[in-house]
Amino acid sequence: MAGRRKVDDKEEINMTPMLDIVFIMLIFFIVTATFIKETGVDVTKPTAETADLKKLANILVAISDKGEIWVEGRQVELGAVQSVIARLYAENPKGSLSIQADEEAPGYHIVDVIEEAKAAGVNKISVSLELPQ
Amino acid sequence: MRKKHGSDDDEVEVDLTPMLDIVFIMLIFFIVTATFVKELGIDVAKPDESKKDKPEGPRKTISLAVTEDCWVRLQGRRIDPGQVSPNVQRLMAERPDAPGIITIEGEAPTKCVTEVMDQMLLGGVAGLSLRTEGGR
Repeated sequence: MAGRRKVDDKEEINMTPMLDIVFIMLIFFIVTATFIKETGVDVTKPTAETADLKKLANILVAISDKGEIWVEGRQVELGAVQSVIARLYAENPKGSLSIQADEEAPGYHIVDVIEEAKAAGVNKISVSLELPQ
Repeated sequence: MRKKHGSDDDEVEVDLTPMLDIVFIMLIFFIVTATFVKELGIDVAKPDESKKDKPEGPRKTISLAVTEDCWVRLQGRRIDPGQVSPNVQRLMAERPDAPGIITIEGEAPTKCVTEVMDQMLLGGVAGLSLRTEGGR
């Protein structure tokens, strides 16, 4: 090859490693994807020092300061909570329930929701809190 | 492109571009919609209904009540919620690994309940359960 410049170089890029990585990432995201439905209402969560991260909390139930129960963007009556939780649990069996209770809400609502959740078969329940600033 | 029959040397060129397109789009979709769960909280569990109804409960638990005006009733004494942690620590020395049971009286607000939950965990209880008066 004495000084000849090849203008028409066709270099074949081997795409196999990139495909491997892309497929693995895709499968990872598909497997870990859960769809979290927001409650529909913002509450002022109480603070606690011992609050820790609940990574599997994907069933969210909020209790507003007036004691209203909100799930999936709608307000529900206490009697209907069990079936809603049961349905959400069926969609995400590995999930746990997180009760976002407003700090001014009467505490007995939390117990009511816990009871409904147990009736729906959910045993991993936590009360949602914030860490003190 | 003449096909040679029976040849082991056939090279079929599969065009991977459409598959890559789809795969990239799906990947970007999942990356974008991946939310990192920021729920912080404390685990609770409801105590067995077969246990006694009295706030004092079975001896192997640390049981207290939160009143409507944010006081704590522990072993018959009224104490301030901030004092719960040292009291619980003392009780834990007598009953190691005891779970905690909090009875919520009347309209006691959530923030009082959660403060007591926090204090009990700081005092070292093994777990927490919430109940209401009358075992609701």
